Amino acid sequence: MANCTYSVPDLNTSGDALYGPRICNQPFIDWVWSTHGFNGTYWQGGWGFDDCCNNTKPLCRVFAAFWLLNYSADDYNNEDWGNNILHWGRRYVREQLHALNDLRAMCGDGSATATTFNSGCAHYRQVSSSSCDDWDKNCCDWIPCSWVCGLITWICRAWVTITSSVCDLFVPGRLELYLGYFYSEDVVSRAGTLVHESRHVGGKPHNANFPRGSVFGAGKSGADSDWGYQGAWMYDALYLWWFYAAGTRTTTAIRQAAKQRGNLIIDNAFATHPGFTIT
Amino acid sequence: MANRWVRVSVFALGAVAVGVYIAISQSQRRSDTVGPAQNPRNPFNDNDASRVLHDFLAAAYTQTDEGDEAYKRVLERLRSQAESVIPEIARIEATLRETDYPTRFALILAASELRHPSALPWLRTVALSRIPAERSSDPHSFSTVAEETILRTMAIDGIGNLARENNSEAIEALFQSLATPSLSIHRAAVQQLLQSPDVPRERIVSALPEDQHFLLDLRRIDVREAPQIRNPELTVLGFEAHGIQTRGVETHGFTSPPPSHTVSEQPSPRVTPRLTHNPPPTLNRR
Repeated sequence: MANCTYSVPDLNTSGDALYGPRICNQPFIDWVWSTHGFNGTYWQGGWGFDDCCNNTKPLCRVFAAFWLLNYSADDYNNEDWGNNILHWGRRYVREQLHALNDLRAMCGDGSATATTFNSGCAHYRQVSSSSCDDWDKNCCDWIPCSWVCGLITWICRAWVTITSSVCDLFVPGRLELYLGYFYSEDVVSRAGTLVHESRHVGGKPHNANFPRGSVFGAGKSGADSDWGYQGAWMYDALYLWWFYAAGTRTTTAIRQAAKQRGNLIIDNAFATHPGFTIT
Repeated sequence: MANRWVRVSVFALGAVAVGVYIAISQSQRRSDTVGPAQNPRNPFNDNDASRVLHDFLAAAYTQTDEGDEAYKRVLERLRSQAESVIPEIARIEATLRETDYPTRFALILAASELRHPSALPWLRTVALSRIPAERSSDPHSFSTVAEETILRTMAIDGIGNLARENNSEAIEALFQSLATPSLSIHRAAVQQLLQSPDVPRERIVSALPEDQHFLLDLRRIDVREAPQIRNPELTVLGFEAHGIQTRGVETHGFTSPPPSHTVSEQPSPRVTPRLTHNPPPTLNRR
């Protein structure tokens, strides 16, 4: 157990003066708490469990990020997967965090704002499941070959289900949010971080080293190979881009912050530059 | 006798094992505690420039029923005092904690929005200032260099506002920024230079390192033209393995409540972790 302290930066410029009062609504609080896997043990002891409308405290500040994530599309109830990430981003984060079911606030050591642990099971599940699907797609269509092939597909899927469930049982995952998340990031960056980490929860690790000149540390691991890899950086940047271009119930200044951060990710987080820029 | 000692030893070992297990599980369950430190004092002074700057920042981060009108009014006031506001911006920025990135960003945004030549020296200082060495040991998650770079690209955009009005000093400042080591600053500066009048492309090419000439050809596209995410539902944890594809707006009982502008009566409602699948609250306009 660690003890830590925080200083609260200007509430206007972090967006907490705008979004903080919006979350102070019991039905929203009940809903967001129960559907995003909050681990109650880790939100007490000063983190805001008993004072969740106080926008100087961590819980209110993560609620603000969830509010932005949920209500920034004009027609926010349209969260169809066929729409853009501004619409379904909230659903994606919700379903990932609900499945993970362990969202914690912790002091951290100052080196990270958030970390997803043990998403390896999800990654194993995703990769193995895709292999079963690939097998199934290539099945022959004449009897009895198709029967045998179908049986193998069934066994493959059953095996993945059983083994990944055992993996989940012994290697439970969790998402930890640290002090820097609450007090060095503005509300839209916090929302982007939730999207980013949810992509890791979905089992997509980074697969490349940061390119030459990257602000994230040239040559170090943690980058995505390219935009088409559809990794956590792409989700993060695309969400910020959509928020900048079409986000509602916000202000120009907050959208401008999203644009600058989106461009930073595009420039620095892909081994191969995507070849475009947010203007 | 020996048998008895064996039984006692086994019992004792078992008790110790259970005790160790409980201790470990308890230590893992124990959460961190947190409390407020002394907050920094209000950096704004009691003078006209400071007041209008404060009002601008409040308006820039507030959404009112008036829409942008309130923001435009206070921006007009800010611009009418541009020459006295700039020293105030510089003074306040110097008093902030280095990690107060959102407020530092807001001050640079204010200086950019002035679109006044008096803002140029400070914006140039910000854009060209050396980025402090990385303070994070895990820059992938949080990078101080990234945060500092965002501040500088915002400053570059502010300089670009002046360069587009053919301010030659602003154009020179953008070229100077191409001598810094940051790719993002180069990208921002190139984009601004390409939009500035009378800047030959060849001059930009010669100012850039050869491996960054691609910055001149970056596509300036709308987000709708960017490659989007295909089948995000297939990577949702727990669904992809079972071949369940979620379509439409069916969300397994988790339909979000519409956002609300109504603040709850209780000043600090307790979070009640009820396992309810009720829809999230709705936006009730005041």
